[in-house]
Order: sequence, then structure tokens, then C-alpha cells
Amino acid sequence: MTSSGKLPVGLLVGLAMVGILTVLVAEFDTAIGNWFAGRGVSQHPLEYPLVAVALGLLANGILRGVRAHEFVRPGIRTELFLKVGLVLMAAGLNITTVMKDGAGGLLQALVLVTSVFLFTWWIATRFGISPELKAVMACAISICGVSAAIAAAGAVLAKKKEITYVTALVIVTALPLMVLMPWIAHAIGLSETIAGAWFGGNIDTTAAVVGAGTLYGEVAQQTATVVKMAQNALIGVVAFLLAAYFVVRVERKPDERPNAGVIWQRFPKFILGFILVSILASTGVLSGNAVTALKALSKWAFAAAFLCIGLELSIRELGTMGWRPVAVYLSATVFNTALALGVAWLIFGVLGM
Amino acid sequence: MGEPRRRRVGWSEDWVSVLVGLLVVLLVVLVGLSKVPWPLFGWFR
Repeated sequence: MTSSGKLPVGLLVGLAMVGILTVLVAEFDTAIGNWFAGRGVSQHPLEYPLVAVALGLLANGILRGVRAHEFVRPGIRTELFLKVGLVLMAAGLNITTVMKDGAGGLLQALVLVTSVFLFTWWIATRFGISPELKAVMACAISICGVSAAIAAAGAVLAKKKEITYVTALVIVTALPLMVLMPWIAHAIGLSETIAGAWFGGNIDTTAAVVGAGTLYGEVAQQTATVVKMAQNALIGVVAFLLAAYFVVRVERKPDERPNAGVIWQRFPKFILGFILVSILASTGVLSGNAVTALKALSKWAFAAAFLCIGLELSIRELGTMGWRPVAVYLSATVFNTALALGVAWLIFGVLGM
Repeated sequence: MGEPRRRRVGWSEDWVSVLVGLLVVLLVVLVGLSKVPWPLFGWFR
């Protein structure tokens, strides 16, 4: 019931509609996965966010056409779904396993995430990109694509068009890399371990990382997955630091002194939930089936969030983003590719970690 | 032009997301939701 005593019909109908459409997204995702599986690719690289945004846009057009968009709007809760998904996603980030299984992977992740994040930030500043878009892009390229982009977007309050734009760039860039990198690795004669570390350190979506590793061999696939997992484990730390930086520096009013109260009031609280669940996973409280279930539920929440983004998105507004973010993204990806090769060769080849 | 940049507005939706997230964790772990063979968990690859 609302404060006026009436049933929130619009909210309930809107939420039911989002639920039904999310099931449709899952069905499409399964169909696309089966199509790839029929062609020998076990992990399909066309991740569900694109399907969800596309379906959301279609429903958006229909709802506006029949003048029902305003009625269901209370149920379109992008932020809520996004943040619930992030809290649940932390169940898959077990820092203890990462430290036990791959010290080399963790070292590579620390070097790459720091260098690529700072490079992307620097080049995006040169191109005059907004601080929020800069943060989302830097996280997506340096850590792990879509999930890092979502975490950064939640931490810095990015616009929906910024999240959608970066997500599309991540998926479109990962596809050619998944095919090209194993081919280049063959051409220059990389060992499976170094090649796997290179794929894991550079390709932005986890599905495409596993795909590239599979194309190169079993050892490459294992190394790529461990390296990617190490990078994923850094999402929470980076999201925390970004949120703190934005609260203290970017969003500060000219006459304001950021005291503890102001920082606490503006700090995105979902990060606390994220850290708590990550601690539960790392200390073994969450394990096995529970982790699998929570990871799946986090994907459901993200699919609903991307669907809501499509339901509220304006294509015309997306077009106003221009070419500069693409130039920044591609330059940073080239930098990441070259640096990841050097670092993988040094850590896994020369140092033999 | 377009969607305005949002400002942080206290605690409401942030805390709700933490509460919902932790509630789901509780349901999965304490109630044993993960032991139920829901198609829900295997839907997305």
C-alpha cells in the first residue's frame, strides 16, 4: 500500500512485466548458447546484457506506442536490480582460492589492473571524457568487462547510456580478440601457460577468455581462467576506492569540506554488502551449491537491470555519445594487449610462477 | 540534455539493495534453496 492507502498497481504490474521479460532474456540466452554449442563453442561470447538491452528497447517502443510506459515506470528499478546483483556477485569472488591457486595470476592482475586503469584514465582525460564514463571504461578494460563496468557504474552513479555504451564496446571488442589472440599466440610460438595468462590478462569478458583458452589448449584454458579470476577478485577493492574518490573529490562542492558524515552519507552502501558477501565466500561460509546458486541469481538480477536500461533508454541519446569513447576504448585495449603479453611472458615465462 | 546526472540521496535504495541481497544469501544458505533443483540456477550459461 502507498502512503495514500492505494495499492501501487503500476509498481506491481511493472515488476511483473520485468520478471516475465527477464525470463524471455534467459530463454534467448539459452538458445544462443545452444547455437554456439552446436558449433563446438562451449561458452557463448554474446553475453546476455546485449540481449536484455535489445529486448528492453523493443518493449520500450511498444509501451510508448500504447501509452503504457508511464504506468509501468515505477516497476522499472534499474538501480535496485544492479545493486542486488552486485551484492550477490561477490559470492563468486573467493580471494582465498585466488591466493592459493595462483600467486602469479594475482601478481599479474595487480600489475595489469593498476597500469591499464591509469592509462585509460589518462587517455580518457586527454579526450575530454566525463569522470563517470572514464571510471566505467577504465574498470571495464583493466578488470573484467561487463561486471566491472557495472560495479564502477554503481560506485560513481554513471548514466544508463554510459553503462550501455561501454557494455556494447566490451562485447564487440571481445569477440575478435577471442579468435585473433590464439592465432597470434600460435604464430609467435607462445607456450600454453604464457598464452593463457595473456588471454586472461587482456580479453574483457570471462566467456571470451575461456573461449580463447579452449581454442589454444587445456593448460592455456586453466591459466586464463585463474588469471581472470584474480582480476575479478579486485573488483571490490577498485569499486570501493572509486566510490571514495568520487565522494571526496569529484562530487565535492566548492565550499564543502568532506568530513566523515558527508562521506558516509554519500558512500554507496551496496559496497558494504558486496564486501560482506565476499568475506563470507572467502572464509568458506558460502561454498559449493550456494555459490553456484548465488552466482546464477546475480545474473538474473543483472539481466533484469539491463532489461530496465533498455526500457528507459533513448537511442537518440546513445548516439550523442560520439566517437571519442570508442577511440579511448580501442587505444586502451591495444595498450592492454601489448602490456599483458610482456607481463605474462615475464611472470610465467622468465620468473616461472 | 538527456538523462540528468543522479545525486546520491541518503540511504534508501542503497540499503534496500543490501538488505535484499543479504536476504537472498540467507535464503540460499539457511533455507537450503540451493539444494532445490530449480531450473532458475542453470538458466544462464
